[in-house]
Amino acid sequence: MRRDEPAWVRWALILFAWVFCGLFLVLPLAAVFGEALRDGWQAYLASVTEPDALAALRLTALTAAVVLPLNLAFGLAAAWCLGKFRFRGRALLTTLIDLPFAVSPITAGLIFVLLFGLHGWLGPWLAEREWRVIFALPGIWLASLFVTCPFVAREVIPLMQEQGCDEELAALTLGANGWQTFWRVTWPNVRWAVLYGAILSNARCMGEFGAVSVVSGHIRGLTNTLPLHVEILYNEYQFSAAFAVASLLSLLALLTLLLKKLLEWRLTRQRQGEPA
Amino acid sequence: MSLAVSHLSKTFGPHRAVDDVSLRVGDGELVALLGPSGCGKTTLLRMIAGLEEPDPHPAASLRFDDREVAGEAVGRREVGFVFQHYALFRQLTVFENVAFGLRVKPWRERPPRAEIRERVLELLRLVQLEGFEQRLPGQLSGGQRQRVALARALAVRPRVLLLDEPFGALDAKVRADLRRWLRRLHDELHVTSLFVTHDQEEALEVADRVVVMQRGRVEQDGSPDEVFHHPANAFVTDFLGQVNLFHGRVQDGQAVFGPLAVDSPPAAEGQAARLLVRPHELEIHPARVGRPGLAATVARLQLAGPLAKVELRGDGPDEIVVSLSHEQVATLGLRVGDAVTVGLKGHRVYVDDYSI
Amino acid sequence: MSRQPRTRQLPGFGLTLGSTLLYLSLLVLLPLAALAAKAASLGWRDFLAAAAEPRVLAAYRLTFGAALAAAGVNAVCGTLVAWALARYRFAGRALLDALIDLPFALPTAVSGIALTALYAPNGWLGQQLAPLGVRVAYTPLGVVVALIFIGLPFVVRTLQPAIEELPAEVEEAAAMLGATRWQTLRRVILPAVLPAVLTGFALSFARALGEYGSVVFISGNLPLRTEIASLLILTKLEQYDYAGATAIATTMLAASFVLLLLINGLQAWAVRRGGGEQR
Repeated sequence: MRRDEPAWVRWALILFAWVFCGLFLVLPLAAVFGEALRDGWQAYLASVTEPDALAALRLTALTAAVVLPLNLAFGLAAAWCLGKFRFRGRALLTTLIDLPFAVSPITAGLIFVLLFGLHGWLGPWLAEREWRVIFALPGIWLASLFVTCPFVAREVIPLMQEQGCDEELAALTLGANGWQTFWRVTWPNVRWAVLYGAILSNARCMGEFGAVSVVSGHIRGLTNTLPLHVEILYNEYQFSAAFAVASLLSLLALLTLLLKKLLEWRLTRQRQGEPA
Repeated sequence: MSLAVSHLSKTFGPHRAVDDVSLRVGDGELVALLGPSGCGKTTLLRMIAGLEEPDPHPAASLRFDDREVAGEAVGRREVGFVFQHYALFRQLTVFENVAFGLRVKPWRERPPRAEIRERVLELLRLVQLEGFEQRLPGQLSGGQRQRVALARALAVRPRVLLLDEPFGALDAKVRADLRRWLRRLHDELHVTSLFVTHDQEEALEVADRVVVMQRGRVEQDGSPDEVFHHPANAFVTDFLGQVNLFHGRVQDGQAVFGPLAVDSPPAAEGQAARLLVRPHELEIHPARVGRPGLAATVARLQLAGPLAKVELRGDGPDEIVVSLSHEQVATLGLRVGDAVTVGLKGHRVYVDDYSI
Repeated sequence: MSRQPRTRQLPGFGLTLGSTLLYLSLLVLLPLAALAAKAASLGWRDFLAAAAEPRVLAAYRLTFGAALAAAGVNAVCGTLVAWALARYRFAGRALLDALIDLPFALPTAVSGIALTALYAPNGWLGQQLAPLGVRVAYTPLGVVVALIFIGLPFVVRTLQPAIEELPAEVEEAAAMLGATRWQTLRRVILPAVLPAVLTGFALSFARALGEYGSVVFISGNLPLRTEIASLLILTKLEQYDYAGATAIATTMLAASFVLLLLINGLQAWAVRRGGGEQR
């Protein structure tokens, strides 16, 4: 009673929250599915099974398959040294890991063009060997890696820091080696946070538009990811088809939100259930 | 297995946490490292376990029987370490926690599954946690977690058992039960053990021998009886239980504290002396009897507990605490405000230039 | 006794630190260095000419103006939403709470075309607004709408924990001292959550500065009118005007870094204040 507003204020605020979020969050989502199904199920299915769409889907999946393992490896390595040890420059390194979040996606693409493009630092050297990075798959992977590299690390670092090293040291006194300690003791403690970071990183990777747009060259069937395919269809006034493909990405987003929520619930429980 | 530490030091930046410490724990002995927080006892324990690297020093050595282990990795030393906050593997069940040390052995040395199971169940029986195998650490009480930590450390049959404030995080009742239990367990297993504590009662009750530390140095090493009744210096006296302190000077070969004069250890005339008297070493007489002693008035009577505690106000700034049996209080008919004289039954005098 | 430095007895420090540094250097630092080097090679005159031509200046104005407006709207509305989510239990709360992260999860291109479809003159919302004389799509207002969408979670997610962690005792104490609910809100709660509001505002602003995908569809991209800085970088790049692209990108990146420092400072301030008030 003492810390509550009058009922009418309460209800007004709840109503406001729903209207505001409805207007800015629910309606756009509804619009995607509404527009996607405007021409009926048949047209919808045709748009998402068309060869270019399938090629884009394959490329997006391939990109995720390349990016995710690297992000996991980097995230765990960074979390181990930053979460379990104190050393000079630790704060600086932590900030550095978050740096890609401060860089605009277009700039993230641009820097790789400046490095690997025909007129870039390494451009001529690559051209001599007929290795293509920009307007080819490696460029897409690099740009995706750049924009997603902080996700796993920033979830796991604070958790490892909070958990300290006592359990690991206990394992060492019991005769475990480094790998045994990591897999049997550390990993079970952080796996849900790792998964959480992986899901966020995956959503960003599959949905990345700006950075990939700069380096991809939009070659249909070859360097087009799903978001780029949506753009091309939209710019060609194939609205239903664009929204049909967009609806796939929206489903991915909804799945991401669901998994994220479940994991948050799990992580809170883990945090509350742990020994004091 | 005996444990011998010689000339170990550890420096953190400008702070000398452990300063040239040597000590021995005999085979099957249970020794307490006692001292205030920050005295270096935990750091010493961690160095023995290999969790902390000692400062390099030519005479520094760490031996288990005749084997030098100072260079050995943590996992090779075969020590059991019980952490202050247990450090149980929170994602593993009680069974898996205890089995851990056996499961991570190289496969040549690893016992077969059935044997691991048997050993874990036997240990859980020993620490009275039968039926808890499938629980997670988060579902146990503090005392239960402590016993799992102990079982886990014992599972690998350690040559030396090290315990860091094993009862520090528990409440008073559980502490008392657990330390009696630890003593019984040690009598059964006879594993060479060293435990760290800041609780003098705990050290005196459980240990065969007590090593008192302060500021990284060993102040005294002796049986509980020795350190309590014959403390080596004022610090040990003060740390091992409540004590009344009187300041005085040496005059004519006697240490004089107001109206009290006692024999002084050899010292220069006029040197500062201090008198330390435990509450049970004082006696109280009504002032009207006219016995020699310190004049004081009764400030407070604390009658709860096995002994009565009488707080007296004398000339000095501190209150004088005397413990008496309830019968004595009744016989004397003490009331708050009564004038009394205080006499000595026992005492210790220090004239060293030791400073606090 | 736990103030000791983290132990070196734990293995793997050298390996993980080495690989982290190597990976970051190759993926993040080297490419950013390429940008810096390119910018430095331009010389002051060329840099200024490229970074300050009228079309570019118009793009900065729009980008910063719209980002500021959107962050402002989010700071106010997001605070109210965060309050409702943190303090009240109501039907659909969990759903709403999950939905807040939609802009994080939804690919920006998808949100871009979805918002455009809604606010275009023939769209669901555009139709309602047209008779009122309000045009959203293909105007600066459209840019603001897209940036509100993209920035909302930053404010709500920063504020929610701050509101949840407010100690109940403080409000109870204020009430017992005779403060009305409004006075408590203004004098006790608001100052306590202010750092979080400012942090959320700054995060939302920073994200809006660099946003591309959700804006390009709804803005219409008219040079000098509805063209944002990110798009202009891409346009210059497609015209092989690397110097122009680099100059704009460097300017925007510098603005982002300043904001990043500001946000770090704000968070440190929030922590200090929080700590200072508790004990």
